[in-house]
Amino acid sequence: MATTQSKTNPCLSDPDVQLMLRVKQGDEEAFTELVENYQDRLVGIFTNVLGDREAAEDLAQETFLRVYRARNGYEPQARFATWLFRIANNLASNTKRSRGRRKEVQFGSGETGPLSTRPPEKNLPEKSALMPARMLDKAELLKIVHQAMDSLNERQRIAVLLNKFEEMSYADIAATLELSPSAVKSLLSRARENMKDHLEKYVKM
Amino acid sequence: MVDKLVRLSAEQRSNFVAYLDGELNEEETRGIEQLLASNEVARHDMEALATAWELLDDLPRPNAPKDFAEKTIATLKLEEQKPLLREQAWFQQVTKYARLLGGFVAVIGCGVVGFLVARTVPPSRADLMLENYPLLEHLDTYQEIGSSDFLIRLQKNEEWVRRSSEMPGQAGKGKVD
Repeated sequence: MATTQSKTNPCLSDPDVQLMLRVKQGDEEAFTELVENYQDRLVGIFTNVLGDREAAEDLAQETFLRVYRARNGYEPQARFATWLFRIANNLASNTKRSRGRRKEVQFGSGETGPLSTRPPEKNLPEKSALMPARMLDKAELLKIVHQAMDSLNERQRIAVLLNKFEEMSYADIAATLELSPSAVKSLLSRARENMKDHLEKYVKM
Repeated sequence: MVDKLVRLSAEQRSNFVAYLDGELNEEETRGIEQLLASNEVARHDMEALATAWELLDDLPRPNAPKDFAEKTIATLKLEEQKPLLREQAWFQQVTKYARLLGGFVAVIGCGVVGFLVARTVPPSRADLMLENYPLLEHLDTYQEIGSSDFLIRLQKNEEWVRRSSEMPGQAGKGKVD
């Protein structure tokens, strides 16, 4: 029976879709399992989108709450991850928009915040990062990578993170961002060209 | 370097990333591989893209706190226990009174609107006739007399007033309307 259903709806072969269907039936353990499966992935993505670990955890929790609230009307139409990251993307966009009204949030802010990878007293002199021939230490390199990510627009950044962290296919990214696969292809192409151009200035390639 | 890159078409360059991601079909893949074999600029460009991509491995990927799932479930339970606003007694009372008040305001409003509409509608011919009924009732007599001056003089005549008041069943009839 399950095999027949999987043939008619390929999403049903996704184990997380099966978990979500159990959540729909009122199975709390299935929901806990879903949270545990995706909590680190969501916090990782949100941290890199928002540049704020605490806000990332709050948003990850809100994503799961929305999933739970939507359980009664849940109908599997895509892989569970696609649906989850679509909710996450909408939440991140709304959060960034509302933050943008107050102030611009930059990755650079992570240097002294929860994303900080070095003590403040070891802040880089700006000029050292501009020396291509110089061997960059890990912290310097991370700063430059953050700057490269900052150079992307919001959509490009999300697409890059889904591609890099989640190893999502273009079709899945397209379903998550509600774009066509060809739009995702050019979005990622532009994003990675931008990053390459930015990083080329600092790192010998 | 920019000059050399111009030699590559925009489509070829946009396919580089898709090639690295394994998103090209066989024919496109073959095309890119032939280009890489013959073009040093393309090879350099591809390597730079791949290196830049590898650098993203250094981005932080923090894990959720250990009690994240526990806290999320606890928040859900708290949310479920909290009765819905529409199920709360005070909300139902407020809704009930709001409905009554709304009905009362609607009735008053309809009355006011009806009154205003009635005022703006011009009187019909029947209304005018009803309003002037006392005049119309004696119209033939008034037309026969022809002038109201005579009646006014008659009303002012003391002898006429005295006699008309003495006549039984004629009291007040000497008054000109």
